[in-house]
Amino acid sequence: MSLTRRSLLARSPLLLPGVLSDLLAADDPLAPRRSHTRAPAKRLIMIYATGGVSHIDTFDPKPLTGGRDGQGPEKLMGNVFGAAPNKNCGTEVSDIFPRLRGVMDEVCLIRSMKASHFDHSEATLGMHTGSPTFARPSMGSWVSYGLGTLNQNLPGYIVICPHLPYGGTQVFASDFLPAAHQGTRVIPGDQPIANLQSPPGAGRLQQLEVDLTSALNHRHLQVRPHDSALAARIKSFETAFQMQTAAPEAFDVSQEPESIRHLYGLDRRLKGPGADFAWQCLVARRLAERGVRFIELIDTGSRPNWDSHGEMREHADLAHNVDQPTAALITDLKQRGMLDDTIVLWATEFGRTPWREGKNGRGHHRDCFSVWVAGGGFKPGHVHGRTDDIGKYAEEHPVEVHDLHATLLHQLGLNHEKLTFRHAGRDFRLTDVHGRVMTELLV
Amino acid sequence: MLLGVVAQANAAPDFNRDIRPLLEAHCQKCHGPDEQNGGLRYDHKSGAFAQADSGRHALVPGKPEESALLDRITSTHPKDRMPPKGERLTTRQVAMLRDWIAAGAPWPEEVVAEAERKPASSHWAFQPITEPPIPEVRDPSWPINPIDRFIQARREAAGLTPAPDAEPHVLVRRLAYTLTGLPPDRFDLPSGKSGLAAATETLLASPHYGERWARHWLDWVRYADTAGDNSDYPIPQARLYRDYVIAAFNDDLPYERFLTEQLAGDLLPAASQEEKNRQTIATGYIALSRRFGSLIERYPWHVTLEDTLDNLGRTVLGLTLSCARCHDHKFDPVSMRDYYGLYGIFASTRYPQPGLELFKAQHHFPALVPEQEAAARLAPFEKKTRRLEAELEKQLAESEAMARDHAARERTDSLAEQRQRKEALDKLLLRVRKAGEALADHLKKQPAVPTAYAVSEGRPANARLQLRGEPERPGAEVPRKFPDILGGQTLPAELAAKTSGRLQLAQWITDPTNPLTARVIVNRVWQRHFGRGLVATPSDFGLRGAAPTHPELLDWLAAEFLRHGGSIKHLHRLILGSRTWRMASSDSEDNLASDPGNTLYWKFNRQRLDAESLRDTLLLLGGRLDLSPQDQPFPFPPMKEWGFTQHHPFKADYPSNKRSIYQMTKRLTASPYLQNFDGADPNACTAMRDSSVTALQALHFLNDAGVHDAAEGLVKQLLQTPRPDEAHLQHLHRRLFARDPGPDEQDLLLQHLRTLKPQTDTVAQAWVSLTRSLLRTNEFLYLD
Repeated sequence: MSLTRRSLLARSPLLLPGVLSDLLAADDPLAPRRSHTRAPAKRLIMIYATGGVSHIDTFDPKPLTGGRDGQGPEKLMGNVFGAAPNKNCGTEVSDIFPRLRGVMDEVCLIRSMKASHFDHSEATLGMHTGSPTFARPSMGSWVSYGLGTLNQNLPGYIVICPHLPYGGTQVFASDFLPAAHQGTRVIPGDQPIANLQSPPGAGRLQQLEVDLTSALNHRHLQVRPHDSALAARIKSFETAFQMQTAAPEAFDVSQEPESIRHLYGLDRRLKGPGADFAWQCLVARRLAERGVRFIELIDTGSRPNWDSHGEMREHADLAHNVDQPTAALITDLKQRGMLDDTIVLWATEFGRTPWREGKNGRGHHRDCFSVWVAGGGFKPGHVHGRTDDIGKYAEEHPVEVHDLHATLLHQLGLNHEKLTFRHAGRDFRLTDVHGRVMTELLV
Repeated sequence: MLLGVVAQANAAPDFNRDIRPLLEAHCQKCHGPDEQNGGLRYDHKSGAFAQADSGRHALVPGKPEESALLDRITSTHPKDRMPPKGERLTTRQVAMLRDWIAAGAPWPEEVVAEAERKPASSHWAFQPITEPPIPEVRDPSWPINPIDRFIQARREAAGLTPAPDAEPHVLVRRLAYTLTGLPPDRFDLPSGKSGLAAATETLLASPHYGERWARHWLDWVRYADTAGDNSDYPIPQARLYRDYVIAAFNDDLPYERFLTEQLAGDLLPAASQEEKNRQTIATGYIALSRRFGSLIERYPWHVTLEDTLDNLGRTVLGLTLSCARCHDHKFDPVSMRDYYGLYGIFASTRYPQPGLELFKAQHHFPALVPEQEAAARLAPFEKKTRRLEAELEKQLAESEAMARDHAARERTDSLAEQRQRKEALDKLLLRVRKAGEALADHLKKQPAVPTAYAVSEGRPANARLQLRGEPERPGAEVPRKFPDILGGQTLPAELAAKTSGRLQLAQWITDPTNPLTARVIVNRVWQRHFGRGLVATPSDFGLRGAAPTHPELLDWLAAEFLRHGGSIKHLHRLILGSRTWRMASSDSEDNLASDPGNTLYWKFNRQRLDAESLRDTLLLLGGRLDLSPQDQPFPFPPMKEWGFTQHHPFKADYPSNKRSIYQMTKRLTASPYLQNFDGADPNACTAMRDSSVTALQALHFLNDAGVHDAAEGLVKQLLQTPRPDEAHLQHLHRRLFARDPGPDEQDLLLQHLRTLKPQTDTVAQAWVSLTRSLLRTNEFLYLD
C-alpha cells in the first residue's frame, strides 16, 4: 500500500494545507522554472563515450593511408573499418556503427569540434563544465538550475554510469550551484539509487514510522509556521516515500514489451565494457518519459574504453555493444513523438590522431573530432564543419565546446549569457565569457 | 598617398596639434582613464612612457624602431593590429607618429588629462578599520555586551522588537554544536547568571572544540588527503597539517601567528626540532594547492600557483584575485601587476610534488628529522639523486625555452614550420618525461624518511606578467609586492635576491593597518555562529560582494580581536556571551513584515546540522563513535607500489568510526554522503555550507544503515536499565532533543509505542522503530 500525499495530509490534522504549499513554493530549488525563451526542447539525454573516440574511424571516415603522397613517412592511417553513406542523407559513417548509420538522417553531425585539452581528465571536464582545469558546475547542473525538474519523485539530473569517468565525480558535480542540482549517480543493478530500500526487516514498519515523524514535524511546524525549510523537509519525506516506488519502477525495464527489449538489444548477451549500455539507453528513455530534465549515460569508466592507443580493433568491440542501443534510443524516441522535444547529444572528449601510434592505434587529438546531436530542433541529416583530407584540422566552421554548450542551452530555452550564478564576486556562466549559438544547426 | 609623402617633408609634428588628437581618437578608449589594457594609457605622460605589460615600451623617444606603438599600428596580424577593429591609421598619420617619436617624442609636462583614477579606493572594505563608538540604546536592560548595543541600535531604529531569550534546552544544544559539532552531554545549563559562560568555558577547553573549528578552517583552505591531479595521488602526510590546525584552534594560537606559520613557518626561528617540525607542517597550507594534469613535462605549475593565490585571496583577504591573472580586475582595484607581484613570491617557493601519472613518486617533501640525520640516511642515494635532478631540470629548462620561442614565432611561422617545430618540441618533451621517470624510479628506492607535505624556499626571482594568463607569453617583470590597494609594500632589493618573500608577505597580510585580514576572519567566525555573516559574502569583500549589514559592529569586532592578540576564543566568548546569540528563533508577524530576512537580528536563525555534525551525532547516539583522534597514518599503499594513472586513479576508502574530520578526503571522488548533505568542496574555498533539503536526504533518513544502526544502538543502551516506559521515553527524548517531552507529546509517543508493540517481535524493536521516527524529525535535524 502506498502512502499518497493526499492520505498523508488527511492524516495530519495539525497541518494547515494552504500554509504548507505557500511555503514550499518559495523554497524548492527543483520547482519547474520558466525558460528564458520558448524553445523546442524540454530535456536532454547526453551520451558520453569515454576515452576519446576516433573521428577518423567512425563519423568522419578518412581513406588516406601512408603519407599524403600515399606512401610517405607520416605513418598516416585511414579509417580501418570501411565506410558507407546513409541512404537518405548521404552522411558517411564507418562500418562499426551500422545502426547509427541507419539513423543519421535524424542526426545533426558536427565534424569540426575542437577539444579544450589534449588529456582525458581535463577534456572530459571541459566537455561537461566548460572548464578543463578549475572546478565548475556541470552542464546538467546548469540545466537543472535553469529549468528545475518536472517530476519531484525523481532527481532532476541523473547520471547512469557503471564506472566513474575521468575526472571522477567532478564531472557531474554542481560545484557552487545549490547541491540539489548535482548529478545523482545511478549504477546499473539492484540499487540504482542509494537507500531506495530499507535494510532487511526494517521496512515493514516504515509507514507507521513516517506517519509519526510527520505528526511530530507538523506539531513542530505549527509553532514555527514561517520556516519554509521545515515545510520543505516534511514534503521531502513524502517525495522520498514515493521515490521508493517510483524510482524502481522507472528503472524496471522488465515492464517493456519484447519488441522494445529487442530493439535496444537487451536480449543480446554481451561481455566487456559497454555491456550494460542497452539497459542504460532504455532506462534513459523511461526517465525522459517521467520528466527527468537531464539524463547522462556514460558508457564506460576511466578504463577500458575508447582510448585505443595500441589497437583500433578495440573500437569495433565497444561499438558492437553500444551501436544498437544508441540507434534504438533515437528510433524509439522518434516513434513515440518524443524526439521533437528531447535533445540527444553524443559526445566524447577528443578525437584520435590521423597517424598510427603503437602497433595499430592512435594518440589523443584535440584539433578536430566529431560529436552529434539528434532531435530538439537540430537539423536532421545535416553535417556541420569539415576537416582536411586526413582528419587533422577543422577546415570549415571550427566549433568550440562553449559554442556547443551555448547552442544546447538555447534549444532548452536558456540564454547562455543570462543563465548566471553569482559566486565569489562574479556572475559565472557555463560558457564563461565565450560561446556562440550556432543557429545554422537549427531547424 | 602622395599627400602623405609630401606631408612628411613638413616640420616635426606638434604634440598638441597633431599627436594628442590622434591618441585621443584612436587609442584612449582602451588605453586611457577607463581602461588600461596591456597596462598602457595615453592620457598622461607617465603612463604613455611606462613599460607596458608586454615588457616593451609603446614610446621610446628618438627610437621609432623600438617603439611598440609603431609595430602595432602597422601590423596586419589580426591579433596584433591596433586599433584592433575598424579603420586603420592612414599612412600619413603613421608617418606623423614616427616623425614625432624620432624627434624625441616631446610631450609637454602640463599635458595631463586628469589625475590617475582609483575607482575603488572609496570602497568600504579598503578603508582603515575604525574604532566606532559603542552606540547608545533606548532600552538599556537588553544588551549584555557591546555587540548587543550595535545590533540593538539598528534594530530599535527600525522599530523591531527582539525575540525573547531561547529556552535553556535550546541554548544547550546550540552551544554544544556550535563549539564542538557534537550533541550536548547535559540537559540543563549550570545554574546561576553565569551558567552559559561556564558551559562555554567547558566546551572551549574540550579537545572536540579544535576538531569542530579546524573543520571550518579546512573548508576554507579546501583541505584534502589527495592532490587532485588526474590520478588523484594520495598524500599520506597531509593529515599532519590537519592535526596542526586542530591543535592551533585548541591552543588558541594568535591569528597573526597562525597565518604567519602557514605562509612561512619554515622561515621562522625554532628552538627545537619539534617546533621546527610544527612550523614546517603549517606551510602545508600552501602545499595543499590543487595539482593538475598527468605529465611532468609542461606541468601546469602556473595553474597550481593560481590556486594558491585564489585561495589566499578568498580565505584570508576576502578578495577575488584570480580575475587579475589575465587582465586587470574589472571590478576590484587589483591589477595584473599586483597579481604577478604576489605570484613571484610563490613562484620562488618550492612546492612538494605529490606524485603524478608520469612521475609516480613524492619529491621535495621537507624532512621532519634533523638535516644530518636525513642526509645520513639518504647518503648512498644522494649523488645519483642530484645527477638525475640536474638532468631533469636541464631538460625542463630547455623545453620551456623552446615552448616560449615557438609561441613568439607562432604569428610568423608557416604551417609547415609550425609542424616542424612541434615535432622538435615533442621529441624534447619525451626526453623530459624519460628524465622524470628515471628520477621517480630512483626516488622510490630511497629509504623512507619522515617528511611533511610542506613547502621550502625555491629560487628567488621576480615573476613576469603572463599575457592573457599564458605562461608561454611572458611580459614585463614585476617586483614581488603586496597589492597597491592594501599598502603596496615591495620586497626590498637586498631580500629579493635571498628569499621568496613569504615571510614578508605574512607580515604585510597580518599588518594591523591591512584593512581586510581582521575583518575577514571575524566575519567568518560570526558567520559560522549565526549562519550568515555581517558581510553575506565571506570570501568577497570587493565591490561585487555584499556590503556589511552592521559596518560599525564589524569594525568594532575586528579592532577588539586585534586588541586581544587575535584570539579566536576571545571572539567566541564575546559572541556567545552576547544577548544577540541567545535569542530564540521564534518569529513575530510584525518583524517578518518589515525584515523577513532577519538582517537586523531580531531573532536567531534556525540552522540545519551540517553533514559532519549529523554523522558524528548518529554514531555517538548509537554508541559507536570513536572519539579518539586519528593519530596514525591512513593505510595508504607504500610509495614503492604506487602506479596510479588517470585510467586507474587512486580511489580507496579507509572508513572508520572516528569523527568526520578524521575521514580521508579525496579530491576526485567525493563521498556520496557529503555530497548529499552539502559537505565542503575539497577543490575550492567553501565559504558557506548550503542547507539544502532534498528527497535524497530523506531517503537517507529512511533507509541508510547508519540511521538504523544509531536507533538500534541507542535502544540497546536505553533498555539496559529497567525502567517504566515513561522513564525510557524521557531518557530517549533528552538524548535527542535535550528536553523532556510535554504531556501531550508523551501521550502521543506512548500511544504510538502501544500501536507498535503488537506488530514487532520484541519490545526492543518497537522502541527502535519509535527512535527512527524521532531521528527523522525536524527538531532533531535543526537547531532552534
